[in-house]
Amino acid sequence: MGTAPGCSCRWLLALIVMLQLCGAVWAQDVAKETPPAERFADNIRSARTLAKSLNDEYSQMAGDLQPYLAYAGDDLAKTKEVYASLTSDLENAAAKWEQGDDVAATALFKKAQQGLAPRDVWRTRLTQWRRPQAELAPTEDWCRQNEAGARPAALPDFRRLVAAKKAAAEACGAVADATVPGADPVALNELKEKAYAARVESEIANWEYHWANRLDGMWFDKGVTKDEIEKPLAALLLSQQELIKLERERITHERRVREAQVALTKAEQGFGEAFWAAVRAREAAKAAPATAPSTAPAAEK
Amino acid sequence: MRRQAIVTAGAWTLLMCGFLMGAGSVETLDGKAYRGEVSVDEGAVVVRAEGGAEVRVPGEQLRHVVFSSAPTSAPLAVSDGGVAKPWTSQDIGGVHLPGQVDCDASGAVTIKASGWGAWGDADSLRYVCRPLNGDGQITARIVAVDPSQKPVSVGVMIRQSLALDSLMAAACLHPAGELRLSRRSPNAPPDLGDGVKAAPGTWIRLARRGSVFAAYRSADGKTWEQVDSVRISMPAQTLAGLAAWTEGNTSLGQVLLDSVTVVEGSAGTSSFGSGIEQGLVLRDGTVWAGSVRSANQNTLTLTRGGQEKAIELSKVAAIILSAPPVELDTLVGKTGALLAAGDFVEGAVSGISIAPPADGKPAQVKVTVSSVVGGILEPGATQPVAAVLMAGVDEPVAPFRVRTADGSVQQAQAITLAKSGIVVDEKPVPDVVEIEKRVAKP
Repeated sequence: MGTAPGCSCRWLLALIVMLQLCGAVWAQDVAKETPPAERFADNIRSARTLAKSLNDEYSQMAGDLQPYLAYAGDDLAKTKEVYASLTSDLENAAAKWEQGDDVAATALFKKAQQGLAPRDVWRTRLTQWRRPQAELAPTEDWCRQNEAGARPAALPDFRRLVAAKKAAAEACGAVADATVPGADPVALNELKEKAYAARVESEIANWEYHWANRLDGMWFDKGVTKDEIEKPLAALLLSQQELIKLERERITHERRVREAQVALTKAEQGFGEAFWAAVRAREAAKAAPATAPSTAPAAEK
Repeated sequence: MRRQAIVTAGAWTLLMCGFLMGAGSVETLDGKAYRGEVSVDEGAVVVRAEGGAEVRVPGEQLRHVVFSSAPTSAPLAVSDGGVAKPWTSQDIGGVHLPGQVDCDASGAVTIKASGWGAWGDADSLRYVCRPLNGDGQITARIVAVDPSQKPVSVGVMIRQSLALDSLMAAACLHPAGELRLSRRSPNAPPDLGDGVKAAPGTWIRLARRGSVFAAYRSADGKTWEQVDSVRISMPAQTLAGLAAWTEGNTSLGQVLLDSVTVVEGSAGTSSFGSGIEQGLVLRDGTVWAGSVRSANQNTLTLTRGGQEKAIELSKVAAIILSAPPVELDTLVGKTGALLAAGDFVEGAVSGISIAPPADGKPAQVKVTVSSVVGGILEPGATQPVAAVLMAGVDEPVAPFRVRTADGSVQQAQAITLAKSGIVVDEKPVPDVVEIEKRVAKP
């Protein structure tokens, strides 16, 4: 004579439930024994280290930009908010982990990680474009002092230099203004190329001014006529033009390299998309015959 | 005869004694001084002070009189929150952001501006201006610069036109806290000075008299101090106005000004001995403004008041051919040729010849200067000559000196004041601006 089958099942079910309860209690006991700060020590350390490095990064940048506050002041205030928001999220994430709230902490940490890209945009705006704008911009005092010291023959070149510096500063300013998270990359790239070109023209104008100043200084006795020094003068001017030509070729080459790099990135993206599309299509094709009977003849290999 | 109509500017005098710009002055033999609107009466002058009180000074008590008129002062015209005719507001040159002007009913004006500024060979700024014909001045008080926005340079300006590279002079307060007289002119020396310290709350003024532009500042709008002056040959028709820009042509800056006025009218000076742009100084101290037509070893011909006068060269102390770049007072006692660029070739003037202008060409000037150091030089061969100093001016003997609106000065024995006008040595002189009686030194 044995027990009824239903009775055994009930006993088995009860045993399983009891074992699960015991397991849960045991897990809780284990958890109670290890403090969250220890359990999540690595996460806390990562969050705090990243927060500190962001603080240091901002402080360094703000210090470097102090001489250029007339140009960068507004951007710096905005960037400070971005960094402050990131470090706040990271500190809060660390605090949540210390409290044992893994879910909230992870969400905050992810939010901060997503904020790193926009912070990079603001940093680029300030350091790569706003600072050069300030450095290139000619000031009235600079103009007065240099104009007073320029040799008369070099004054037209000096005026061209002033115009070129203004144009380069404005071009860098335009890129800075357009460098915001989510900016259209094509339009931004166009502005950047204009700024690169303007900076080179400013550099060339600087050369031409200093060459003209130096030549006028060397040729201090205008009693020596052009005819007497025609050949060496022509050679000197030709050398200057050659250097300018090479500089312009260099900037053209750099622009082509940048364009090729952009094309390469696009091509890699295109390849990746096409490859994964093909993988998905193949998986979909594999899955399709198993779910529905097919009356179609088997595809030839 | 009409009352004298001159606004006195004192362009070469440091005015620390409360000398009111746009007003006249009277000093008596017993040391009294009066300031206000000065007019002529029978045997006397009448001074009306700012408060309305009148003082009558008999002619025999006069030591020094500078005449004035009620200035034709025009405040900033406003309408519907903006400027009204004849004022206009516009950006000049390539500005990063368009400027903006807002006015209230009292004439206070808020200017928002960007731009590189008024320097170099191309301006970019916001300009609120009106036409100015001939001499005159523009005044404004810089009330406040908005500290929450970009640093702003702001001031008063007179320019030839709205072109980027127009001739101009501007008295402006810069963010570093200095007031400077900026200028653009092919012949004016560059402004290399540091200016003077100033801050919002300062009154600033730019006055034009002929080719002289002078910048002034004041703490109260009543007592003025000259900051700097420069000579720029500008046509009579100009634009006088308020200029503002930010540093480096970035975002907009904002500034508030009030008490904006433009005074039209020729401004005399309170200093004898300078101020004409072409003419002669004779050895007896007489100054004749006019156009120098020709000269040879013996005679010089001057066109004055539509008539040609021939003068013996031996009576001439100085020939002024164009606006001198430096004050001739600084060359007292010297002889030689003063070049338009400012250089002075010192030496005895051993020869001069001026051929009259012809076929659209200016007068041809040839001057020979002999010096122990330089030998025989012809400074006019390579550079234009502004003035030729031939001899010194003798100690004057006539008791009176009389200056007229064109800058001419004559020595006089007798002055008669009448309601109909001023008579100098029995001849009526219609445009007297200043009379001085010489007082014997004790």
